[in-house]
Amino acid sequence: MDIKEKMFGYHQKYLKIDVETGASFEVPIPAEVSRKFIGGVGLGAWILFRESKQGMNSLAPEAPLIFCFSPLVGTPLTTSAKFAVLAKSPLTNRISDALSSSHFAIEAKKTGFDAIVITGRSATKRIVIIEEGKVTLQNADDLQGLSALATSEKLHTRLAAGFQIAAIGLAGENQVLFANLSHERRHAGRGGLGAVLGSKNIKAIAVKGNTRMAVAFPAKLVEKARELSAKSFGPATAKYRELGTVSNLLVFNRLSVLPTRNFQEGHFAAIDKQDFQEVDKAAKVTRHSCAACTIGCEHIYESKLGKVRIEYESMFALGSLCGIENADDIAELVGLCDEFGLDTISTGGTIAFAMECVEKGMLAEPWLQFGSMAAAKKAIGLIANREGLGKILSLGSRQAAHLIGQGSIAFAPQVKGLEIPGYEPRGLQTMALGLAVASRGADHNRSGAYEADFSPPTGEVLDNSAIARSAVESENRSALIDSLILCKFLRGVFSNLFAESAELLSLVTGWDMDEVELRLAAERVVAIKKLFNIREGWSIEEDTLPERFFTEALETQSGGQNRLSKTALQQRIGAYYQARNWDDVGDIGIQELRRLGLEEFCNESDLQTIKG
Amino acid sequence: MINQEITPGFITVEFLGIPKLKAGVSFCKVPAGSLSSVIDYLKNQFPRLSQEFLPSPSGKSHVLYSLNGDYFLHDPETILLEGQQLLIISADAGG
Repeated sequence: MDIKEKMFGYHQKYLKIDVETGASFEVPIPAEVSRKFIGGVGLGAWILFRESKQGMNSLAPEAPLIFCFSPLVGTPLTTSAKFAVLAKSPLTNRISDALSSSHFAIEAKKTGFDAIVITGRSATKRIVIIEEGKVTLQNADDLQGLSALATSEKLHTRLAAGFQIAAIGLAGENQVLFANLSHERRHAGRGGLGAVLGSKNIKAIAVKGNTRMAVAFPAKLVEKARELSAKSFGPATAKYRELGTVSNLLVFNRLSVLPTRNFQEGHFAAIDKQDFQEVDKAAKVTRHSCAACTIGCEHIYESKLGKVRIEYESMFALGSLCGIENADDIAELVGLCDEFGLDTISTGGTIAFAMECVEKGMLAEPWLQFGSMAAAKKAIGLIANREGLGKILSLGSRQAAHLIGQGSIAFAPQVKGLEIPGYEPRGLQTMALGLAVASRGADHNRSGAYEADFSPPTGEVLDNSAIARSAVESENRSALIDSLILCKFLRGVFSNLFAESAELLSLVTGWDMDEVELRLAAERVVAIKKLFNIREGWSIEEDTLPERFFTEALETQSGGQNRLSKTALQQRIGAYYQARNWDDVGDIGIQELRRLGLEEFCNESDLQTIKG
Repeated sequence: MINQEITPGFITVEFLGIPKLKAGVSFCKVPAGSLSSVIDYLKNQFPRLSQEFLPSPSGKSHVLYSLNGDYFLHDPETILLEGQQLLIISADAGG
């Protein structure tokens, strides 16, 4: 068969399951759509747009939860064993797209589908089992309250060999708005995707399949995969491999961009207690990698709760952000979040916010003090169980601030409702723009604009246009990587990400792709996520940062001050819209939709519908 | 700024992350001079660091140089003065 007629890399269909009735059916995906949106976050966003209704409640039965795979998963390409999970976020009411990794991605693709869409609400707590195209629902009463890891272990004994499982913990069952969804200690963490699955009364998804995915040029792909693996052992990934992301703690602290005590400070006096390069020497840390990965970034720490995967984001959020000093204590808190199935960034951000409310006398919970391990531990338990103060904090810092009032929204550490990751906006001003405009809220994975801040000056004047172009380029790169899907920790090994990705994708699919096509695809992925948000009520006022960042200067360790001007940020946001060909208020016009090949949204009446 | 005793005629170099792993120390004293002279000195003193000073496939350096933690340096002719602190960190800030 002519490879131009045969579809390689894709099954050309997704599986839609109604967990209320147990019914399932296949939905075709046109080849043109696969090529335009690639897979992962891109294809998932297209399915989300198609499968969801404007204004739907994110926790309503009809709200879809989408697992989306990619053309590269199952190939020998290093770090390609990844999957995307998408839904309308209950935390932000905007799009949420998160990634997780490892064997679930490989096995799910082998079920014969490019995506799995879960809708409905089961009358009782159940698990969804997908074996090839066959879907069954099983009782999950015995899994209630278990962690994702314990759920997987129990299901592995119940189900036949070979199933891979993604599950939620107690927080997901209780619909905590920042509950995550996990597979093998890797979390689709942000935006409350675990709560969406929990709202459907589904504890876990188990997948198993035998459908092998053909690739167009297998021999050449193997050769390319070897090259990529060899590069992945080099210095471009050394930080992740040798030290893990947790090594950022000391670096960010030294540069005064480590968020501390709910962003009141940019460096933490006790940071030396969290030097994992020293801890490593004491052999408390072991290394691990996802399936099909040659980088091996995971650093597993022996905490009081057992093995905990330590990452910079988790350690900052539950450490310096809450003023907690001891590495053992922080690892225990991370382990507790993993046990309950909570996103560590949002958990730490929300607790740190509440601690500041107590400090300022806005919240009568005197036990909740910065630096108190016992308080943080108690707060995590209350959040997961939605008890006492946890009822408020389980809604995230934005909604908590609205309930607490007294102007506390000014220091709620969030954008669009999503808690800010560990990049201090006053010290990292390109990242400040990236955080403000990102579709899913404050985000370091969909925008790596901090790379521009962590770069030496090039001699170019860093005016607003240059800053905006950096943010746009960073988002486009992320959109491509998240759609392929490859691990971002691999990005440094590419000399031209778009051109080299086009080559990889061409070898898998048989399509003759080039850099120009993939650049456009990346822009398209960013645009469809924005369109989803516009349809759900986005307005320009959401593209900003909390007032604190404009009104409070940040002291640096060398005695200087980092400041962020609101006017400057607004000008950069305007420049960002311009660089994206969006209008002055951030809307996407018909002409731009046509340029991006989003013709299905080009009809004038459709556009009005999108905009509501 | 980390408090380090000032040695006449020397700057303090602080290593973090991979540079610290390769150097095997957190701090060292280097004669004040241009950034390029400091890098040459470090290459001799810490041969395992040498690879870090080479460009990555994308043309960027694997390490960044920060003066006192305040801003990054690019020009190899930048003069580092006695008592100043030069941070050498991994260029990749992803987390």
